Amino acid sequence: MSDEALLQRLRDPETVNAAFRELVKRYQEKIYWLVRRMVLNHEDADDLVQNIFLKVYTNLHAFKGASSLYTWIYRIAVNEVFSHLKSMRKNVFVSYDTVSAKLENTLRYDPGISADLIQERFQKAMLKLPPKQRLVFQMKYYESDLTFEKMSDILDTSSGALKASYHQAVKKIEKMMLDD
Amino acid sequence: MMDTRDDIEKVFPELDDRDEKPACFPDAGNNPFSIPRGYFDTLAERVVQSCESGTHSMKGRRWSMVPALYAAAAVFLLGLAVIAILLSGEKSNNEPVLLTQQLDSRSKDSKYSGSTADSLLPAAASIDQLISRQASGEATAAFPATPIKQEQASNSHEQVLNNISDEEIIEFLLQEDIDVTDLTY
Repeated sequence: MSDEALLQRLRDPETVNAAFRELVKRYQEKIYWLVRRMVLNHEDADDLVQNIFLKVYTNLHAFKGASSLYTWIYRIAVNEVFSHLKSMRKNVFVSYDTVSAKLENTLRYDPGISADLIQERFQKAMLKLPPKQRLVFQMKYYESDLTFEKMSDILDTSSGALKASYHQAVKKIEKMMLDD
Repeated sequence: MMDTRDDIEKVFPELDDRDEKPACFPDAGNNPFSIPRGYFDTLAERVVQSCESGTHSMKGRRWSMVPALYAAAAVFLLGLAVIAILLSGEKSNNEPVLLTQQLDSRSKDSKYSGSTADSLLPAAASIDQLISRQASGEATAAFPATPIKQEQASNSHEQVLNNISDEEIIEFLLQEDIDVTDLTY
């Protein structure tokens, strides 16, 4: 079933619940992994994924189809992830370095993460990136079917800027891994 | 300085096609994160249930609002305190200083002790009484011709006092049969 057909069913009160279940099944893994790579901890990711789909459900009536369903859900997910990272700062005077340090602790002690030496260096290096650049890098690196044009729609940033951001992230991570 | 989208596009047009994975990077398919067994089998059902009941609370978000609420409450209380201080200051400025109070404080002062300040107290009390009647707009037989505007009357005791001439005060004291023999200063 295409996204358009799914959307038609979502707009029909008689089929909305079944269609929504289908929508969650269709996007749950992509959304979960997008979130999990950013917050690292499974419980946080699970909580956020539920919030994201709850927002999708409650805002279905407001979705006018200006972008694709896929782009719209991703955009909600990205906003939710950034809100979560902001809330981890406790207040605006706490820098993202503190958040990175917290995430690094999660990386080190969370039993749900088992990384070999290279993977551990790679994950640590990614945490050193600013949150938006980390997101851009991870989206492109892990989701091979996601083009810069699609990312441009989701993140509301030009594809040129995203390419530059990704390229810089690759260089930074490579340098950090080699220096480590 | 490249900061426009077009400039960035010109410099990085080829990046989509370039192999951007250095050799030291792990394989993207190598996932270090584990999830509970059967997690995705039940996730959709849990999400749908929480959506239907609307019960899934944004617990993290709710707690993250607490510092903001504290800050808002602190600002509100600070504002109230500032208003209270300003109002109390204004009130004390408007409060009339009675002659009797002035003389009483002077008589307590060692410099004026036993001086004319003591002897003037009864007269001052009468003047205060007169002034307060004037301030409240009440016409008196003693000063029927002394016009005092309402706004002046509502101002301070001292302003009212300034509008009454010395002659009028002496005349009033005589009419009221107040001993003025000690009015020497």
